[in-house]
Amino acid sequence: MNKSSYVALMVVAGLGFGGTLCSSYGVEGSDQLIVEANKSISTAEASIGEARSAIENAKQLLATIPSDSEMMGEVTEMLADVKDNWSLALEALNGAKESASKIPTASSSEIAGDYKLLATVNAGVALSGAEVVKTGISFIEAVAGNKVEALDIIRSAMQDSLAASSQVQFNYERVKSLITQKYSK
Amino acid sequence: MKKYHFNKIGLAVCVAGLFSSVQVGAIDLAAASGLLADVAVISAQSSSALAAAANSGDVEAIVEAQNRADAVDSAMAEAQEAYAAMERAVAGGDEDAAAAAAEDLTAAQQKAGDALNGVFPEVDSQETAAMQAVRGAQTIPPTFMMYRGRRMDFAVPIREYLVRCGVHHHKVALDLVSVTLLLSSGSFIRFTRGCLRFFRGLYYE
Repeated sequence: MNKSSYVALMVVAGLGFGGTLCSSYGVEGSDQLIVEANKSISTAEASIGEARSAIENAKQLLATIPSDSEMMGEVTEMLADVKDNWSLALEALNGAKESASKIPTASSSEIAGDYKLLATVNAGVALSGAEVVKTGISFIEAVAGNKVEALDIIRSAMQDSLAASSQVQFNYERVKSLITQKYSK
Repeated sequence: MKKYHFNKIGLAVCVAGLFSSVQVGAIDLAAASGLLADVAVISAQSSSALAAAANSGDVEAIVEAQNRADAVDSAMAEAQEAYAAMERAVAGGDEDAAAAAAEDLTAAQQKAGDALNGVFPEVDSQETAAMQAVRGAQTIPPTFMMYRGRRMDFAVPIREYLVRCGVHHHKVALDLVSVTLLLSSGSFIRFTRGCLRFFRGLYYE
C-alpha cells in the first residue's frame, strides 16, 4: 500500500465512521426529537382547546354584565389582553407545528435539535398565551357572577400571567436569535 | 518511522470524523433560554390555576393554588438567577461555572414543575441532613439554639466564613465556634445578668 492510498483509506474510514454515527442518530435521535416536540404541541393544543371553550362561555357571560357597570372598563381591558394573547397563541401553535415538521428532513442532528427547540419554545408561547386567555376569562366570570372577593386575586394572577407570557415570548426571541447567530457565522 | 507518521495522520482523521458526528454543545445558551421559557410557562399555568380557584370560592383550593403559585415564582426567580450566572460564565469563558449554572437552571425547572403539581421540597429535613453531613465531616458539635421557635444555626456559616478567610485548621475553627456559642448561649447571658444584679446589689447596699 503506497502513501497516498493509505491516507485516502484513513480519510474514508474516518468520515465513514462519523457518517455511520450520523445516520444511526438520524433514525433514533430524530424520532425522539419528534416525540418530544409533539408532546409540547399536544399540551399547548389542549390548553388552547380549554381557552376556546372559555371564550365561548365568556360571550354569554358578557351579555349578563350591565353596560353601565363600573367594572366595564376593566372588563374591556381584560378583553383586549385576551384578544392579543389568543391571536399570539394560535400563531405560535402554527409556528411550533411548522418547526416540528422540519425535524425529520433536517440535514444534521444539530439542525434537527434546533428545530425541536424552536418547536417546544413556540409551543410554550402558545401555551402561555392560552393560559393568559383562561385567566382573563376567569375575571369576566367573576364580574358576571358578582364574586367581588375573587377579583383581587384574579387581577394579581392576570398580572403575573401577562408577565410570564412576556417572559416566554422574550425567551423565544432569544432562542431564535441565538440559533440564527450560530448558523450565520 | 514513516509508517508511524502515517498512522498518526490516520488516527487524527478518524478522531476528526468521530467528533464531526458527535457535536455536543457543552454550553448551550439557546437550550438554557428554552428552559427559562419553560419555567415561565409553568408560572403562567400556576396563575391561571389560581384564578380558577378564586372563582370556585373554595378557600382551601385558593390557599393551595396560592402556595403553588408562590413556590413556582420562587423557582422562577432561581431560574432567572441561574440563567444570568450562566450568561456571565459564558461571557467570561468559565465552562465549569456555566455547567454549574446550567444544572441550577435544570433544578429550578424541576422545582417549578413539582410546585405546579403540589409537590413541595422538604426544606427543613434536607437542610438538617446537609448540616448534619457537614458536622459529621468536620466533627463540630451541635451548634444551634432555638430563638422564638426558630432554629438558629450558626456553626456552618461561621465555618464557611473561616474557611473563606483561609482558616482551614479545624481546631482553630472549632475554638472560635465554641467561643461564639458560649457568648450566644442562654446560660452565659443568665450568668452575665446574675453578675450585673450582684454588682448592682453591692452598689446600692
